[in-house]
Amino acid sequence: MRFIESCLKRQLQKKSYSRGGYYADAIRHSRYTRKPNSVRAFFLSLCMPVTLAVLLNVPVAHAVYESNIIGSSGGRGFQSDCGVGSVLAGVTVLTSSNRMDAIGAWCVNVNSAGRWVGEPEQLGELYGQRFRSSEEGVSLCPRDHAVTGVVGTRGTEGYFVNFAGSVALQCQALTDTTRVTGAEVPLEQLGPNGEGQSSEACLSNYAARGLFGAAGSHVDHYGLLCLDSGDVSGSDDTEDPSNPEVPEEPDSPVERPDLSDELFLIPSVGGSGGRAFDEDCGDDSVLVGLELNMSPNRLDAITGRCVSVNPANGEWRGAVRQLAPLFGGNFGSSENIITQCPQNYAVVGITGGVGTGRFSTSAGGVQLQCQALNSAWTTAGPLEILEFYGPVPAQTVSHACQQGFPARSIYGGAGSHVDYYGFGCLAPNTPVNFKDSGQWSPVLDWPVIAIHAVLTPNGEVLTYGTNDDGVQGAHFYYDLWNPETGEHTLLENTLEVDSFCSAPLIIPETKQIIMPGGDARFGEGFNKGIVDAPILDTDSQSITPASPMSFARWYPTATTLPNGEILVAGGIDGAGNVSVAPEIYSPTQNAWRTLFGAADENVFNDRESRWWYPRHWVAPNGKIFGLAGSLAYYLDPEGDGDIEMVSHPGMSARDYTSTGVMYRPGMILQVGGRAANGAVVIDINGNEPTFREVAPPVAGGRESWSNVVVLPDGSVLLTGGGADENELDGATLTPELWDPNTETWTALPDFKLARLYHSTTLLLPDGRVFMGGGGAPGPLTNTNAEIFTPGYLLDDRGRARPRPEITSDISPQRAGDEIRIPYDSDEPIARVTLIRSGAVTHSFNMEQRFIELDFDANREVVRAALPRDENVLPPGYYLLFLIDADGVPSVAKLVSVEVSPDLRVDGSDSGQTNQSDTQNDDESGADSGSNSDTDNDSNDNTDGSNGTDFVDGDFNPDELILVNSPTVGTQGGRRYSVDCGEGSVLVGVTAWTNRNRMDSISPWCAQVDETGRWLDDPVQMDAYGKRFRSSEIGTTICPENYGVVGFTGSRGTERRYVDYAGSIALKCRALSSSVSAAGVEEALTQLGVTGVGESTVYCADDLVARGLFGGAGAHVDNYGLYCLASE
Amino acid sequence: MGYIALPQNNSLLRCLLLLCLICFGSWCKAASSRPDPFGPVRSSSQLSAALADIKLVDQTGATFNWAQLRGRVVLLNFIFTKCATVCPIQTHQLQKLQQRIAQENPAVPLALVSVSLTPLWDTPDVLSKYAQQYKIPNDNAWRLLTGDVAEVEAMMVALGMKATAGESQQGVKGNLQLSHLTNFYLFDPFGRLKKQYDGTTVASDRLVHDIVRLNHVSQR
Repeated sequence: MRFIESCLKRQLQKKSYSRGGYYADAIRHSRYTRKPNSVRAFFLSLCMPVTLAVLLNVPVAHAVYESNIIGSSGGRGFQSDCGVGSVLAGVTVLTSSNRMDAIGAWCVNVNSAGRWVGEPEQLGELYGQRFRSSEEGVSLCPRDHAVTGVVGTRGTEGYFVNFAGSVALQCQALTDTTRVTGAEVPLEQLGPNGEGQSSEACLSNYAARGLFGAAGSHVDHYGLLCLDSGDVSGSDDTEDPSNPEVPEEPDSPVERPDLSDELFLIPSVGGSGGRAFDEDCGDDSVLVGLELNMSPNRLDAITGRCVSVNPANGEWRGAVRQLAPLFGGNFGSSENIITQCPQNYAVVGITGGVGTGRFSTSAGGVQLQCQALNSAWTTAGPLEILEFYGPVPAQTVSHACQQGFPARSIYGGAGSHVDYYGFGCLAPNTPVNFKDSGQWSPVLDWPVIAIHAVLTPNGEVLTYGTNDDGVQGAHFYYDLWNPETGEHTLLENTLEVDSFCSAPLIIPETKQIIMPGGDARFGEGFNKGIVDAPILDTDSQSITPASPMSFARWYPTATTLPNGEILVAGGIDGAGNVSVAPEIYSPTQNAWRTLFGAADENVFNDRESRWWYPRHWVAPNGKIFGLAGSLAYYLDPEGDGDIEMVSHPGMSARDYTSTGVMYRPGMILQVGGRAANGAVVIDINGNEPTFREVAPPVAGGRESWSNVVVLPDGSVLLTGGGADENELDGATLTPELWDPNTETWTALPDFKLARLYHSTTLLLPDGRVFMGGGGAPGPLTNTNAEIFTPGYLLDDRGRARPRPEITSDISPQRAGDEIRIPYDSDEPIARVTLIRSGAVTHSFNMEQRFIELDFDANREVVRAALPRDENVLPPGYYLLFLIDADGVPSVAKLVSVEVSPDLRVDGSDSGQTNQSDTQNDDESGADSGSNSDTDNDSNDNTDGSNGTDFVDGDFNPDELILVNSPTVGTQGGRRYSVDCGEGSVLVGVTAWTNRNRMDSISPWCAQVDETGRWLDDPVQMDAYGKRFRSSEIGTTICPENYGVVGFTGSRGTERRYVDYAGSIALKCRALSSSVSAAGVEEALTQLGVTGVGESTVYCADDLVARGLFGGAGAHVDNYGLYCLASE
Repeated sequence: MGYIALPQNNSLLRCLLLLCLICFGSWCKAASSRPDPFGPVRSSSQLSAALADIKLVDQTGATFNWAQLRGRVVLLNFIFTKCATVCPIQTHQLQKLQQRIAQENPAVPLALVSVSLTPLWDTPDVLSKYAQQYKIPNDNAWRLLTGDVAEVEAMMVALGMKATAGESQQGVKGNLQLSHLTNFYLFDPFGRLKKQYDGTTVASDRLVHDIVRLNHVSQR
């Protein structure tokens, strides 16, 4: 029996693997013929039939195993198993020019003679995503054949080489339901022929029964599910006979946990009323789905779907059955829907809401959450979120069983429609008081590693740091997650600036998020500081560059100042030099100024890695209080800036691996760090900061990379970290809650995954806490997250407690204002608190701070007074919570605190210190008058400047210089410049363009004599940018003896490409000398598509262009003319 | 980036380019062979010390080391005399800057330093002619520097300067190119790097302001 138990456990491992996610990582790269995993394959072939035979009392069936994969790791796991009696007959793939976007299996039933029964059908959905560029192809074996092998490659073109690229199936004639014979029939290749071609085949004479793999935006990898012999003797012709395997000691079976006699009822979805129903699937069964009658605006009827489960391994036994007749009604508008978990999964939660229109008190849309069973009583692994059915309410709610336990019953109330419903879940017998402990969600898939997490002014969570494989690089995604709906929106990084380890925070006056510093630009390697500061507009979801900083910075800290400007300090540049001088960004002028007086080498130093995200807070005295290594200091951002050192007594919490938060105005809690697992309270309210040791965290392991979050009630949640820098050994899974009144810690229930380097934690507007990230580098690649529901939101059984509600949005405020807060609450309001929106990375949240407000309240309205001091309340976005007498907080409203007018720095009186660093030299002859900040900024002249002459005044032919014309496009790419040289002029361009952008550009030059006559044919110069297969080449050249004097151009089209150059149409005139032109203008044909921001640019004073400059990477970011001009 | 135009059949110049490539390669190697993501991190003083060890010669043939600049705010860039695009513009820009400081803030001690990226070609004599072409007096206020390739390479590595030979630029006098970053580097009177600029876009007003403020804070 122990042998069988071992088999069961191994099958469990295999199931986990097929679903992907972290749990699969340890065995992700299983290979049938490799030693470590051949043990498993051997065992699978040995034990699965026996297991099934003994436990299911069914005939022995052939097992399947997974072939080697084609592609690379990443993505969400999938499996398409055609099932017993069927074989894989083909695939559908969606492919683009450089990668595979999606894949799906075609299956066909087979009789004992190997003949197809019926026609092949596509099995379920395609895995991956469909893009506009995707081409669909279907590849099917000849009749009565099955897939037995595949030849495939990864993708092409740099970024896509880590995805799957092509697939070419091989088929053989079937002899029975599982076996094949005869010659291989190769099918046509689908998809691009990329890197790393490999050939994978099933066991000789056996067919494939399905596909498996992993996919996100594209197909990361795929492989075949192959049938094996099912020979329990263990003979296997693929095993290396010289390397006999020894079966591992069988494991113990899953024991029945000590369960509560009562099912745990999750809160219901919908309203109230109707006839009550409560149906239980029964012992050894679980709820695996729902049958619904759904109308467009409400849920008409509901019932559960149950299945018996193998107690030991969680596999379904027998057919899924309807739990009871439908509860509710059936109308002409009703659509019957069955929503059901994948095989061997169970329901563990629900997302839903009320109906729409007049059905707002009935139940509405339904979306099930499923999780893999590992016994009849427990679940594990990532959540599988099913499709949302029915009307989408204004606000959805989500309720879940206790972590690790499935649903077994359905309850509710229904009449003509379903008024409400919920589930009853298995639960442990050990009573848990959720009111005290809170509750963690299951592990949620996340599109990226959340190295950076920012709460946006719209209440969404911005995370970024890697691509969807958890790999750093300039082709990462920004993810916007809506905590209310759970929806993710992925934005492509169109600037190709790698903001890995940057310093994002909200610009108070624009609602935008600036991300100064980071890692590198695309194509320029990794781990080099950069001067870039991309700006993400969360409303338009577009990304544009701010003016670059003066110092390249990798690992800088950003701080919003009381006047709304952004201080950036610390970091290192691309040569490894510490970025010693802090600088300040003026959002109103899009310009930086340097604080030479604060360029303190002792503070911004390599010792103790003090340059690494120094911890900065705006102090009550208006200066910046800083902690770096064992140093403490005040940084004065006024004027030239200054640094004043403060005595630091050397406490048990310090260094760059510590974490800290201003948990009360002027009160800082610093936890952990390389020094020790300690905690220190720092009071910066007085003239001299004071440091005081307090009780250390009780769970230990906070020396590296913990995170702290201040909660609506002012307590501080401590999560993650470990004893060593980035090691699983010593990682702490136990969160703790710090009470600021008693200054003591309370351990809370463990979360699931270690959260070490590059992990983040963020308070959500609904009072829950997001925790994500960890990895790149690290022992785990945490493209996942866990959500903590603190105890203040739950009753002792884990049900949601009634909450106060703020019933209207709050208009923008300023320091000293009184806020009027309409509300609705069963309990009186006891507290009003403000928490600044969060922006966290590397264990430091650069925004969060907690402020308790004085207030008065009647039964409908709370009036709360904001602090008058901007040093206590710097401008920005704050979460406003009402907390009732039971300690339950409302869902917060995000309140904008604006810059006070008397502190605002605007362009009219900024003087020298705020001028743009990127302004062109006024000696070039440019007019730098009233609009000096942007007049000659090559990145800001793309819109609305038709016919602009950028140089003015008389020209002296004896003193000509080359000047940059305004550009078309936006900043980015690698700079290029081509000067035709003395005695030559620019006479044309060749451009490679696509339907939405310019990919590459190349100028043409001609040598001319003193009268302007061409001495020879024009010559094409080097091209800049990349040429794609889809690029169209076009060349325009001035008539003979003409030269280029200007152009009309525009940026690209289609959101993704609007920041690149799009079109160019040259303007030529007859040359009157080697440097000047005269006569009528000749407009050349436009190359490329007209996009946004069309503008026309001329060289000045009849002088001509002598070259081209700009920036280009994968596409042309911008271009302009080198014009001759007088000095 | 700037470009240099060099005759293709000149073996000496090919050698120069090769040295530049070696220089760039060394920089790459230094970056890529770092044992951790950060590699050696230098404080401002450590960078100053590294620069202080570098010995070059100027356009007059006089020996240069950083100690000679002590007490002066320094603005440094990299050029090469055959550069036909960015370098002349920057040289012109620095010339104007020097004049403005002399006229508007004569008490501010400013030193300009332009380091050749092609030191084997840009001998002191060649730099001297370049200085004459741009009317740069030999008064130590503007040092045009050259010297051993290893010394120039050390300065490039210390400051993160990148230069590389471009592709063949067929059609323009049959020449080759050399591309390089166009940064200006601003040092305080103690030789500590305080700021960098994109030399193709920075405004002279900004440079004047920063030089004056840096000199001011360095006095306190």
